[in-house]
Amino acid sequence: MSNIKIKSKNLDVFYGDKQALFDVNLDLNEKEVTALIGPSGCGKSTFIRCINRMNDVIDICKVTGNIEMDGMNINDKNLDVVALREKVGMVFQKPNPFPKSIYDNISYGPKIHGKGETKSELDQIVENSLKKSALWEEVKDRLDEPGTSLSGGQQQRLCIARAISVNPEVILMDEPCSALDPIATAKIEELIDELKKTYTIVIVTHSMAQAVRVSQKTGFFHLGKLIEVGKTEKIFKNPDNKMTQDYITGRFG
Amino acid sequence: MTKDERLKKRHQAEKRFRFYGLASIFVALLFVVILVQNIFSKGSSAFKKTVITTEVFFDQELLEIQNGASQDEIMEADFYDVMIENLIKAYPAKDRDEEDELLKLFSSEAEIEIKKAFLKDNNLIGKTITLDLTASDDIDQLHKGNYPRDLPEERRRISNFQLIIYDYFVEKKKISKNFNNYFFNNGDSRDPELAGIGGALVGSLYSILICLLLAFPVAVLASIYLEEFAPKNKITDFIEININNLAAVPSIVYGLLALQILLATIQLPRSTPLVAGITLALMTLPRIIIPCRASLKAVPPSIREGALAVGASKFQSVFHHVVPLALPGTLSGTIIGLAQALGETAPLILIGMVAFVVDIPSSPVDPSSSLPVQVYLWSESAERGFVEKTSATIMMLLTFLIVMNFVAVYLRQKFEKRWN
Amino acid sequence: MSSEHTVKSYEEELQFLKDSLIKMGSLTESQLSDAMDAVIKVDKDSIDKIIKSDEEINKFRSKIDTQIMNLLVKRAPMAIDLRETISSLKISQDLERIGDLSKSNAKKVKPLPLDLPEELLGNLKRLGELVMKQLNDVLDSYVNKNFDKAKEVWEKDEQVDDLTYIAMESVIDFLSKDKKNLDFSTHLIFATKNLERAGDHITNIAETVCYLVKGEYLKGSRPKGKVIQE
Repeated sequence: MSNIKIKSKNLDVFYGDKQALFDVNLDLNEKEVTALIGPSGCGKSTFIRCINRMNDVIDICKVTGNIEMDGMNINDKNLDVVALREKVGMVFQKPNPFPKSIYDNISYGPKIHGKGETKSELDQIVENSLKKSALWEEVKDRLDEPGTSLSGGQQQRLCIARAISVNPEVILMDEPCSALDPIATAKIEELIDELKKTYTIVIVTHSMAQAVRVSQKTGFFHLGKLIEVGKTEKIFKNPDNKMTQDYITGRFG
Repeated sequence: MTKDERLKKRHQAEKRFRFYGLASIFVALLFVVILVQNIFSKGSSAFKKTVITTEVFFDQELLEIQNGASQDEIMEADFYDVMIENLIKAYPAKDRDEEDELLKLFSSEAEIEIKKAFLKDNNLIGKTITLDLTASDDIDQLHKGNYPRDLPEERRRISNFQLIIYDYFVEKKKISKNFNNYFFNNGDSRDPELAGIGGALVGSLYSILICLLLAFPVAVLASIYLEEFAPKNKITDFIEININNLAAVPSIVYGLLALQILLATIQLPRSTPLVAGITLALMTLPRIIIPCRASLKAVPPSIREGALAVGASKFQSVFHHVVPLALPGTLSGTIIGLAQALGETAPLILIGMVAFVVDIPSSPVDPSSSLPVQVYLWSESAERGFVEKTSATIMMLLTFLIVMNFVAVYLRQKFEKRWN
Repeated sequence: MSSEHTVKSYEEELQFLKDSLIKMGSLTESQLSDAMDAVIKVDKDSIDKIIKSDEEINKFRSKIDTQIMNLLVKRAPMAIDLRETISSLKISQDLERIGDLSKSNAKKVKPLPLDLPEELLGNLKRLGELVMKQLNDVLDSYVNKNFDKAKEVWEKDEQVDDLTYIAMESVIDFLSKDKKNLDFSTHLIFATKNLERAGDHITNIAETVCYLVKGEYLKGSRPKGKVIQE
């Protein structure tokens, strides 16, 4: 059976006085795709941002409770977030490649983490990352062109390649396909299928159909609480909780 | 009102508005054209100087140079006698007074011009050459048509005899206009025909250079700190308000500040580009900080998040990603700030750059003037010859300013294209 | 907490499906009952009416099929809605089959003599009444989403098998008494078998209703009664 890669226990998140997450207990399995669904503002993005400590950039955000990866406490004040983010990568809703060349986009991460000291090592890393994101064939002849010259779907795959380039263990995806057309979306979903063999993936999505397609485990959030979590098939065929069922069948008023 | 009438009225209102807009542009352009035309018409003559073509014979006896004399000895030779000898020959004068009047037709630089010509070619001993010697200011202005001839002699600056000589020279084609190298090479002078912006230009350049070297790094680093690293609290807000206010402080206040602190307390040398540079830097700081901060703010947070997510530290995310994107805006803001600094007059007057400085400064701690101050000084002068020089200096200033602004626009467009 | 779909037309489409199914169920019940009556009373006049009514049932079947396709393509139903949609498909198939079997039984009345033995008719009648009750119960359980009732129907299939066995025996008995009865005995055998098959379809419906309500399939195999060696 799968091991647990990330575990959260009694996780609370506050933005100033407003509480955004209430007592979240959620386990994420290794080399599996976990989908987080729920209406807007329910806290799913807040949750994944706890995993790579991106909530730190928001001054008024406070996180209490336990969240661990491989037994290491992510919330520890003394934890080196730079090292954490090497292990936990993130792909955002709107593709945000750096305004640099495609090559530089991918090589930036490894360079700052000291992976790849010679040019040929970096070349290799860039090629591998682009191959793993199914983008290599399309861009191998134009690595010097700016990352922003690609189409939306390609840009998102570039961002995925960028996340992979530092060899993380976990990839967090915050609605990665919401800005893409159906063809680009299909390519990314295919990619996720492949990637889950190597990485643990957490995906926040508004598309129920996508959650069913790509994930093995699904968690339903509502107003900051984790209402139900379980095997994807069960959640979408026969959920235990009425709120979950109301949400996925479109009965939310 | 029917629907059609209403529609018609709306269209008419639009047409009226467009008319007002075009009329405003037209009026604005008209003012600019009038201004530029005025300056150019007054100043273009300054780029030429009147010269009198004269034969010069280098009499060895008068020069008192032996055969085989060394270079140093030649340098020491006195060319005054040679000058007098040759200039008197330009026109028959019957007495001392007329000789004096004849000599006054030439500028006071004539001796040095003859010496320079001699030094250029050592084989001139005993030889005669033809030189274009700079005419005096009065002849210069007369030849440029600025002196009315139909006044009685007592009210003219040029005597009747001088007029006769002048007309004779004109007839013999011995008077012409050459390119006025003195305007660019010389420093200030009591003689308008010899006065140039050389000193002021170098002084301005040194001042702006020092201003840039001091203001740019400090402003950019301050902006980066305030925008990216400083905690968002009341103190930071307070600083921001004050910086915005500083940009609006009249520049003369900075002059007073410089006077008290730089000159009186620290006792830096007066009237130097060093002090000017520091004063301008203080003034330009807020003018660079404001566009720099705006450029930093304009960088979308997604870029920062992207960098952080890949494991960059805050410092790396700012300096590797945000700052390069903010650079075009910062640069164009800096260039505009420097262009403003170039044209500052009041603070520089207060720190003493109104002194009459003849020499071209060789370092930032030599006393000097600056272009706008030079304009001020010359505009106060009584001599007619300075009028064209003042306008010509303004033309130079405007040219620099326009070039700097174009560079700013070009840089901004070039860098912004790379981003998108 | 609202339990209605935010998109009203979705709610209406599902309701329409359920209503169509309930109407089809009623029609099937009448069909079954009429066919039963025809056989017991050897009423040859009602045959045409029954055949016509079967066409109605088939029309319902097409309507329901179309509606299901629309729902799947438009709404991508999830959870209970998905189970509801797929269940409607299965139930309508089973109801149509029951209708067909009833029609087939009615046709078999034509060649029957008017003087069949009381005992034989009695056994047939008891079988028929049980099957009709099963259908009624299972349709009730669908309407009320009653898991327990559906499970009962599923378990009672054993009784249907038992009664079938008894009815079959009396037909075979009747056949063996007089060779000239062979012709219509064959019909009677088929008619009995049809009733048993109808019972199986009803049990299918019961399983579907259980899955619809609980989201899990019933465990274990169907209880079986005595079977005639075939």
